[in-house]
Amino acid sequence: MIRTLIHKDLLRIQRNPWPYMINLALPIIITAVIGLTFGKSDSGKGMGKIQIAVVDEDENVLGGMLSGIFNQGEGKEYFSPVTMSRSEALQRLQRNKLSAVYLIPDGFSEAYLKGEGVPPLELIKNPAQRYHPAIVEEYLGIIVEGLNVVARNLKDELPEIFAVVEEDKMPDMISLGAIIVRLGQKFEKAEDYLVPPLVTFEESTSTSISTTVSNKEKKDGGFNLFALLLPMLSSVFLLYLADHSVRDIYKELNKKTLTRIKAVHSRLFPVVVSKSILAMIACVFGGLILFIGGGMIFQIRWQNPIQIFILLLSYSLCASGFLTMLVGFFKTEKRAENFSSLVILAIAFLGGGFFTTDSMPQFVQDNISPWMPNYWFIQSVRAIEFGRGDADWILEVIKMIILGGVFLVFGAYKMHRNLEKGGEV
Amino acid sequence: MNALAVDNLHKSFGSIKAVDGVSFHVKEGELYGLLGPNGAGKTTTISMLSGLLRPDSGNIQVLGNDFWTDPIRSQKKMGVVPQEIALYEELSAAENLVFWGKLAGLDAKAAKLRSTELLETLTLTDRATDPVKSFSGGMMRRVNIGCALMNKPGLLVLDEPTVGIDPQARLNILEFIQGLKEEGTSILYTTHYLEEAETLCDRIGIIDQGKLLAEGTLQELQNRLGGDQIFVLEGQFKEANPNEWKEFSESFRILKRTDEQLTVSGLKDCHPSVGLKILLDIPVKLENVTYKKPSLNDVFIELTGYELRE
Repeated sequence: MIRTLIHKDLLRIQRNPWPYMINLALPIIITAVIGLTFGKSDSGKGMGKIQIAVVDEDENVLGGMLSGIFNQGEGKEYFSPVTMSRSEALQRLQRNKLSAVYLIPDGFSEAYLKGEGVPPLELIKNPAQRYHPAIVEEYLGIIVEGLNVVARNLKDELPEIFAVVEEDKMPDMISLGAIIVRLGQKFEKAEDYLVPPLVTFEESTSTSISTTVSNKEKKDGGFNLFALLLPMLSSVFLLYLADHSVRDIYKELNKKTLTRIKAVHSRLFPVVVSKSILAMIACVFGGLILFIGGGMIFQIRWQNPIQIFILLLSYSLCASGFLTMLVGFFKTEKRAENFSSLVILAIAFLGGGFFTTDSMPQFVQDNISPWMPNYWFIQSVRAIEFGRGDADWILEVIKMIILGGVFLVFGAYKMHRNLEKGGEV
Repeated sequence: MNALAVDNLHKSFGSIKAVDGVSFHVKEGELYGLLGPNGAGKTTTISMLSGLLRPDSGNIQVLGNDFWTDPIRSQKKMGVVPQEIALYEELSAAENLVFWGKLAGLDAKAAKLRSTELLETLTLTDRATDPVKSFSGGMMRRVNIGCALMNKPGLLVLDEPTVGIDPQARLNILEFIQGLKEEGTSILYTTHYLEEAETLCDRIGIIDQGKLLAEGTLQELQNRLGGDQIFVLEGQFKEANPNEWKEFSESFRILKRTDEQLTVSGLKDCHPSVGLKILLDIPVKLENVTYKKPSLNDVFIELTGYELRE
């Protein structure tokens, strides 16, 4: 019976796909609008570079190299760094002329090369902006991880290099040559791990910039703002898709088809279950369309499609279960619609569906966001795709499946009870 | 065996007694009409015998099975046509029929075959694949009925199936129902249209305020009014006191009285001219006298005290 009910609903969606199309088109449109406004895609069509100030208080060889990282390679495609003093940088930040200030503290090079008590690099983000500072942080996170890798692997060579470069006279070329030979031997040993570059480190940075940034470097391509936005907005609109599918039961009540089903088959529980399954199907297909279609439109290459699909499945279960429960609490479509829209909006904000959670008050970041299923989904996608954050995607999948199942059972029971009592239209 | 037997059915909503001790039965192959105004309790009765509402008390037997002991078993043997058009408007007529057929227990192949058959019977074959939302009210009504016939039910329950459609479409539906009856389908038909009950039904139950007031064939109901004699007198009856008219009181019963009109039925089986003579002797100047056979409306008036308006 459930199969017949779902088949009927899928046919209805096929005949009138617009409500679903809107929920699929919106995240893509919003992603495009935000992406094109605040960033640029790999295709190079953008609104301009991110303005950052580099404050080099170290004024040493390594500090000089680090101050130039935003102006080299891919960095120069995304950033417009200007070197200036700390006070001037902070003034410009306050005037909203900069997205972030990147500070290399005094004595950084020496401490780093000696391998002792490295002062942290500092990143001061512009609180008036949401996406640009996040991109700077993302980029800097990769650099910091690189520095950590070098520090861990070349801990014997770095002090020697420091001694050579710090000498007032001409560097001792024999000592330098010996160091280079040793470095070459180390790289040869690590060749199997480096080529192809499997760069996955589990330790977080010890030098630590203002937020903890870890792990994995992207295998190819540069940072793509659309890839950051699409999972966020998808998580929100998948909730709306689930909501629309579950609330269809009230439309059936309104059109009297639900009453007729009861007159033919007596029980409404299969109908409730079918709507939850429909919501899940809609979410999975919607998610696939968003990730595949969005990926094609915005030239995002998903590196871990299977993990993303598993995440999508579990998130869909969680979303459909949650919406079944939410809608099930209300006896009328109007009340259910109003309330669920509000709740989805709140979840979207709190879980980082519209902007990254680190832009929110610390209390929300620490105590509320981590409880949101969309936060689990977004953080997991970011972790497995971009190496950002410390989300364990398998754990999040398990959490979403368990929670979704509980929501589904409770919601279906509640909704069934309401309908049996003659739910109002 | 009765196709449907309803015994002493009660249903209340708070202090309102929607159905109050209703009992009737539908014989196999019979078309039984439940006639009553809106709010009489027809739909509540149908809701109880189709599984939508559980009765407070009473018993319902469908084709020999106690309905509420195993509702699904009984539902599989019956078809219910709701008053509202309960269809999926995005789907075609054929898809609606197949869906409701599968829900009633047919497999996909049987449902498809049956839907083709029904679309032909309903003269909708050429519109089979069009979405129902593009149909006229009459066509939707036909599909609405068709959906309840997918499982070839032993008992068909029709709840006011001709409400809100044009006369031509209504006629088509009545002819279709007549055809079903001739094929031997047992039908319970609720309506508030008098002429539908008069022309279509083998037996009629008159229901008002949750009570079944009378039932029988049209002739049996008419006989309640004392045979074939109904006189409608027109004149000034505002000041009149018919109880004082001795011969009139012995010969007639007042069915309805207004200031300008008196409707009476004869108590004795006598020739109309005799009755007319008595009426002409009453102390009111009559402007017109009409003699007619009693209609179902007259029976309804006699039972309820008011007219059943369409």
